[in-house]
Amino acid sequence: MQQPSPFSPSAARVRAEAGSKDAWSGLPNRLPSGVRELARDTALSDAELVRRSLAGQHDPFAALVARYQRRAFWIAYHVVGRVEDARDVSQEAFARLYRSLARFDYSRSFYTWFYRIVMNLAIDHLRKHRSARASSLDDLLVALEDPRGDEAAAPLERQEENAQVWQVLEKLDAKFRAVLVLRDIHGLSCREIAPILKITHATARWRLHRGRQMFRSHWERAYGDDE
Amino acid sequence: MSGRCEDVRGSLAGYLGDELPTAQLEAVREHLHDCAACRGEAGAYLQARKALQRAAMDALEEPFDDDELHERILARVALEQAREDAQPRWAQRLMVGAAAVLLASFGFWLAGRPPAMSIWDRPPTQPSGPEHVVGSPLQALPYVGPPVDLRPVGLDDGIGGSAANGFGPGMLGRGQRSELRDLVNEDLVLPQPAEQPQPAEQQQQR
Repeated sequence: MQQPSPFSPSAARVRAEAGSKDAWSGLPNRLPSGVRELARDTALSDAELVRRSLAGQHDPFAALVARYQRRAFWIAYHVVGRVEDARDVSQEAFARLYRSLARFDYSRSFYTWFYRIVMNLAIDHLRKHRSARASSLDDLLVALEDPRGDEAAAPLERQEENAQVWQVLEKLDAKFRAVLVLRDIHGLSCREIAPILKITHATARWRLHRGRQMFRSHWERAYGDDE
Repeated sequence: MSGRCEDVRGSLAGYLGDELPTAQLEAVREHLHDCAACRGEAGAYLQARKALQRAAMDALEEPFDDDELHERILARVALEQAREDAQPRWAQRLMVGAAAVLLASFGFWLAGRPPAMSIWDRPPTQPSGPEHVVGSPLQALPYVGPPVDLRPVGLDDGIGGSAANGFGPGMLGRGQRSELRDLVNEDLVLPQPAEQPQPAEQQQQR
């Protein structure tokens, strides 16, 4: 009988490795009860919240923000690489969403449309200001002020490795970085990624393939040299 | 490195992401089982990807204030809303101003324009063209015959199609053409022009 390969890409393992989609979502703690109820109501679709927002109600839009703010922030963060920039990008994404709410196509999925807004803003931001996450003094200060103390803090080696990862990611062109982030971190499929980036499925697969190759070669160069 | 190894290495990234068709997936799996060099290559890919995912998950554990972000986003949207509310008034003023300027310039243009000549003030023009030349072959002749009912042939004259012969109304089959010809020869009498009363006779009648 054939032994299962240690590299067998079972769906469960892929899901466990790529941060599951739920890891990047969640509701804020302090929400007004009306907004919380709308945001948690799984029977209430995003399209329905858009419809109610367009009717002039405030709470449905706040519920949309609550549903998607964390995902918007993390996608932006993984592309731009800085907390403050990611906050700016997510704020701007929701402002743009509000402006173009009337143009929402109800026959398409809301998250694809919204992710496209976030991704476009993040990529624009990245092209304008090259990220400097690893060398950022702000992030160093955040790490030093971590209220969890030394016990919970990641080991120094791990922190260094993470810094290397962000540096390597930074070397990739924005179009490869976007696909890599959406697939390998956020766990979206190439079929889901294609409409978000307005590319074909084949292009999404090719960019993913090239992105992984480039990431791996940069990673080996950087991490191998370091060791 | 064999050609097979090259092929497999080309699709390793897709294999580890579970993005290959089943047949190709199986082929790569079998090759990895047998080839240590390609297994090492796959391991390198896995390590790089794991490092990326680990860094992302570690970032998730950094302190992050959801509520503060929610408030900031809503404040930004409120600003957008205020801008949107202010915009129609501004646009309305602009449109009123533009309309006033347009009206004023139209008034000035009208005032400075020479008075228009009425069509009744113009000299009469002579008709031109061959149909107006006396004696021309193109001169129209008046129709003097009886009133003619103009209808498509075969619509209700029993000529042309019917449910029986499979033709639609107005459609003539080969046999029906001769039928029409006979009808024309027998029944159609060309109208003779009516005699015009002479002016002298008219006067005598009076």
